[in-house]
Amino acid sequence: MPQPDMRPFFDTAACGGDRAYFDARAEKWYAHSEVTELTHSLASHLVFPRKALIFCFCRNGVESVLAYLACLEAGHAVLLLDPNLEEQFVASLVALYSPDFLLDPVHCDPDAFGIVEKCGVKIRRALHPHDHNLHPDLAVLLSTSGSTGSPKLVRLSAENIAANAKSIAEAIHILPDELAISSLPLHYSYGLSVINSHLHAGAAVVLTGEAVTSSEFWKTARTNQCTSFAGVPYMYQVLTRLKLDSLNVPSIKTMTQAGGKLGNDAVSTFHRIMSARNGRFIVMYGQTEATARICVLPHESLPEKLGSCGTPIPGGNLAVEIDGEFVTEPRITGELVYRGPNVMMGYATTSADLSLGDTQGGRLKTGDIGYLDEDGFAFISGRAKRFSKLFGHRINLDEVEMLLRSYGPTAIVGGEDRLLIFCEYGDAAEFQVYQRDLAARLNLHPRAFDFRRIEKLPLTASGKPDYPTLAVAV
Amino acid sequence: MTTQEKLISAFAAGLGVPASSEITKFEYRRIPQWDSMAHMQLVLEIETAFDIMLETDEVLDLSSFSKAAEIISRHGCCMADAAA
Repeated sequence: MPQPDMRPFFDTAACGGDRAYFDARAEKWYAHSEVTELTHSLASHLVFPRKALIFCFCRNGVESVLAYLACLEAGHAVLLLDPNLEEQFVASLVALYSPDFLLDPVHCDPDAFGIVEKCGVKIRRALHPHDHNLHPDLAVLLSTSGSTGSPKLVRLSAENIAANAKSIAEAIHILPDELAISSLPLHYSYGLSVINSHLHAGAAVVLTGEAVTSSEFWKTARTNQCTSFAGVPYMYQVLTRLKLDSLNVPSIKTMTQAGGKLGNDAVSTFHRIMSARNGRFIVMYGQTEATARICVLPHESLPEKLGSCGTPIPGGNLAVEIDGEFVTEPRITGELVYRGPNVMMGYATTSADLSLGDTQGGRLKTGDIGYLDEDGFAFISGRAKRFSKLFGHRINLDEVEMLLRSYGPTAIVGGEDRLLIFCEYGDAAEFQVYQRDLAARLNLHPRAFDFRRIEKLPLTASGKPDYPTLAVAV
Repeated sequence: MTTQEKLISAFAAGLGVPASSEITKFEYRRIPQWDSMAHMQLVLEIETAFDIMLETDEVLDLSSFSKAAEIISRHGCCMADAAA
């Protein structure tokens, strides 16, 4: 049997190119050898009598990448967090999980944590550490909801991270001369996967906290001749308005999209633009529960497979299940179930859960509803949990949302006997028209559709509607 | 409504903040509400209020209230013709 590649994917010394990261804020390049050295030095400050639990607050700079890599090198478990989280929520997370170290925290209780060392990264060490018994395989923890702040965490092993990094690098052909630009944060699984997959490939990443709406972002991309861009749907909506070709970054030959479904029109547009510049537009699909990536749709599969999110990454398998039974025929809709080495160890909701081993067995019920076509390409129509039952009818909230999106930003949550439809547009008279239209289309009473005008839809870190917040607002 | 008032209300609507003369001092990065999503909404509000279409460079350069005033004056909506 062939031996798997056992080189730790975070062993930057083994990487080919001499450039690893460009920190846009500091305007400084870091070579792979330098990253290895700095990581090693930082890890030496994280020595602990046992495997430690570390909370790392991530910024889009090289310090956060070093902090993350140092935690891995030291063999600890690290929870990557949004630095913009509410102080109270961070305090409740600290109380719930009892971390041994905080890296770059915004707020910190001086009675509970002492300052160890400054090394570009502020290290706070617990004065009275909790008696943790962390599972030896546990390496990375991510929040299930990005920045909205759920205490429910996804438990990932170093093997999960390494396997997904390798699969992604293979699936989208990341070569050592690739230079990616991403403003996706490290605490978001997509942002982390950009770092991991490029590290695996020995390629480089430009780290910037600038938004795609700022001229600095594009100036950085232009000056450094970035070759690839990673974005979530809303960033592509921004790019549609900005017009990619007007941004004068012809060096960008690869664009990847994940973090939710981008409309077919936008996919076609970007596929056309990238084809014209001899580049690639790659639609992807994944979940934090699968470390990040599950499927990739190669550029060449468009326009033929428009609407698909692709085929499973190397090493993975995707199947459709209905009521626990595998569906073998194509184009039958059910729940997508993924198997692969990147499936998480499981969830954690308490600190005791951190001592658990793998509870998934490499199998993940995605909660996404869809089908596979004859060629094995996945088409997703919605979320299993985004269904509402109204008067005995099963309503797919995402589909109703898609019907209304052409009018403006819309988010729908299911109520007791009606759908609560939050719109950033419209008035009472218009809502009455939409109500009647939906009632006719879905064969329901108009009163089942409760329209509410909202100034601004709350969004998650990935730019998706924040449904839990909306549900609470009702 | 004067051009300045119109621009203030476009900022208020775009960034989701109350309309006030404070807005004339607004700069991107200093206003927490001014994120990339709010930015695109602001662009839309300005385009609608003044019936203009901003170029890519203008969308990216729109980094403060005074920049916005500069941009709309380039489109012929002068801040001086206040009483219009």
